[in-house]
Amino acid sequence: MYKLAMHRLGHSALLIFGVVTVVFFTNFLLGDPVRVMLPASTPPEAVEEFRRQMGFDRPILVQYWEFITRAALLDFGDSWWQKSPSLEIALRPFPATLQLGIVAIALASLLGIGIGLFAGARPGSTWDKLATSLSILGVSLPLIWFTLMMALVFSVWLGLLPTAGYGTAGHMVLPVVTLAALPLGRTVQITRASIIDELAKPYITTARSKGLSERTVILRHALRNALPPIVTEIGWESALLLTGYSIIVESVFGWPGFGFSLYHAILTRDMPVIIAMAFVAALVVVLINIIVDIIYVIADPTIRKT
Amino acid sequence: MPANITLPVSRRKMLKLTGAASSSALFTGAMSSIAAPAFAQSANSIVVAIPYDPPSLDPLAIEQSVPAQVTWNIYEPLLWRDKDGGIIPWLAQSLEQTSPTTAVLKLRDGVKFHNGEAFNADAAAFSINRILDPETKSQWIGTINTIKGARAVGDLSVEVETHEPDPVLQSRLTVIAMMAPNWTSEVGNQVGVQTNGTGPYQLEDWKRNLSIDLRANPSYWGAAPSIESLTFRVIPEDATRFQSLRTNEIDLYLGVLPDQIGEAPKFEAGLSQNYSFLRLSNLEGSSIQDPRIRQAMNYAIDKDGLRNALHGGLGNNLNAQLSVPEMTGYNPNIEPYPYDPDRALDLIREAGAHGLDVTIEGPKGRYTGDAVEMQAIGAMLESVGLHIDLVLRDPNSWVRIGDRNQTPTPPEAWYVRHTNTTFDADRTLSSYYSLRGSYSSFSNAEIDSVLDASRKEMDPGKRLELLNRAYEIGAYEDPMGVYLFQHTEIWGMRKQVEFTPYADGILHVGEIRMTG
Repeated sequence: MYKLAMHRLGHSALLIFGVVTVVFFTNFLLGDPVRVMLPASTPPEAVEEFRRQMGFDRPILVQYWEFITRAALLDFGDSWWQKSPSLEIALRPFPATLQLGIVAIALASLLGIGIGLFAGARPGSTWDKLATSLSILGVSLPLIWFTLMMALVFSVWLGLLPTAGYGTAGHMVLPVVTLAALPLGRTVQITRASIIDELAKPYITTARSKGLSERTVILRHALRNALPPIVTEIGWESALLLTGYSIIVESVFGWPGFGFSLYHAILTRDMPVIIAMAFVAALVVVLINIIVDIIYVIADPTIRKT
Repeated sequence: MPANITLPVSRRKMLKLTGAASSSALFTGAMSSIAAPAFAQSANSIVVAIPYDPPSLDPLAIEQSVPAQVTWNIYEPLLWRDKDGGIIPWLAQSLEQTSPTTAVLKLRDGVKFHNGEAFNADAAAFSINRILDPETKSQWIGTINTIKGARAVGDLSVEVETHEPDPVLQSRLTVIAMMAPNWTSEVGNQVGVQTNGTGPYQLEDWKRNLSIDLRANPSYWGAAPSIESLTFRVIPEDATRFQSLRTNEIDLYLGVLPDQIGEAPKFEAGLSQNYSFLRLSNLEGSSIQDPRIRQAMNYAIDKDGLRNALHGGLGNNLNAQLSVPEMTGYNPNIEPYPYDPDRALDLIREAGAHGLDVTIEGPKGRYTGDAVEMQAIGAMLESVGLHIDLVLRDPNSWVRIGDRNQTPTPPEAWYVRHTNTTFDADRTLSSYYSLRGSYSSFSNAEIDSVLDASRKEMDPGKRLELLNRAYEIGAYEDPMGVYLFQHTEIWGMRKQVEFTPYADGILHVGEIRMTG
């Protein structure tokens, strides 16, 4: 158990180091950062002067060494434009995203597992077909299109909800629903599939022959064993939602969260902030993996022995 | 009415129904309470949408059009521009050139910053020196680096020194916002988060990534604005911004797309200092060195047709030069290229260039509708006998191809939109009509010598003649490009908003009126 935990921790540190390093170099590979930061008509001698001011005239490895030694102490430097520590800027919008993310994931998980169980317990039925079709719809909706359509229908046509912003419950409805659609579809599919798998196993026959009600068989026996893939799926979706889908959904609905801020940082090419945000995103993925691992251990006691 | 009536439904079913009814009432109630907040549509407040949160409100560090919409309502320069782009006195009342490299400005008396600090020559000198200070890492560097420094020569007189004689100094001074020296040193690194200008509005609240609230400065030195409260709301997505305008959640924003104007409640198209053209190469190795081919390429383009089809008929055609009437140096005597495919075909034949391979490099997704525009241009050039190889690239690779430092052998043609916010030909000519600019693929000895002479010429009339000559050469004798359009910036607004855009694109909220 201890060995596993240490192994996981080392693995996570390596992952974060890798992400931060790749993002650092990508910034240079995407073209001359100075050129991107200055208006295109800036005369060449002014561009060179600005390069010196920013310290980009030094060899890239020197710049990397300076960066990585400071990053090891969680100092990602100051934002180029905001002149304050970039890690602070990266963390500031996170609570707003968490607010959306927790509601969306809770909604997707509870509904997803519920519908998945219901469909998986009666495979081939009309209900199952309906649930399967809806889940395919949820998974295959292009997020950007779906988001824009939701805004068009509920804000412009029906006038029920505000198009964009933050502050009231009304502002949360559309972002939560759009964020939840994809994870909901996947959770239904995974839950349904693993319940069908479990229900075909011999221990279910044993349970049924003991005279347990179908409800007990499914909820107490099958679900518990079906849980690991579902938890993995929800963990994975949570990470994607917080650090990926949030970019599109928050930008469309003007929600001042992590994805929105990342979009801004990329737009203004604020490299220290982009790297700090990549660091935070990697950290989120690692934390979610740890939570998933803990749930595994609770759900399946045999893991504790390894 | 009988006393006893039999319920048509059982009690149990009834309970269920009423339960459903009350919960649905609850639901609608909840929905209406969380419905779109109706914004106080009063005549003295306005909501303007911007596409991203300003990374900083330090006007001397940032040159970006979005933060500028906010900062130019808070801060002001010494000289500014009127609606048509002409330079007018602002915080300075006069400018006198005291030597070829020095100018003295007399400042307006009685102006105060929002915090009460006096605006004087020390503040003006401080601001000019601050934009030049390498510590500021100013994005304005390309506009202001001809200035050497400034010093106070009296309480309300400031002297500005340039490295060389600088005929464009006045234009440069229009971009330098005046800041308060004591306040700036007190706030330290909060200089981009807090504000303290001399302008008609002062910062009240900034909710990061959400909104910026300004209110009218009660002791403003100029005419008091009719709008007292001004909110900038950050809405990144084009479609959402447009929808917010249609649902009256916002009053005004810049960036309505040409295909949206039909559905906008009201719009105003302002001409922008943004010109599209195909940059042509006359350098060694280019297949179109013969000027006749480059002339033919200009005759081959149906500019009116393209503008109507792709830009909603807005904007202007360029008159065979990368300049427009409001720009210093514009040559009004140059004949525009008419759309004349027969003449183009003749010139191509004369030059023996029928079937010639010409590569056009352009961006995909850098400008609205860029790819479609280039495909149409490619087709028009093919129809006069050239063989066009159109390469559309992602914006980063496209920039790399256009930069001679990164791509020493430029393509024959490179599509770009040039922005000149200095309103002076020097920036344009040195960027594209001469190899001084690293984005240029054009060299002409006479233009180079004319340009050199113009940089030392302090007499405005003589300087104008030189700049005119440079444009004349680049039009027909040795065409620098296929000249396309001056673009517009489209402001969308609610019907009640009365607003005329400025030629320099600056948003002066103080001049907006709301009716009804």
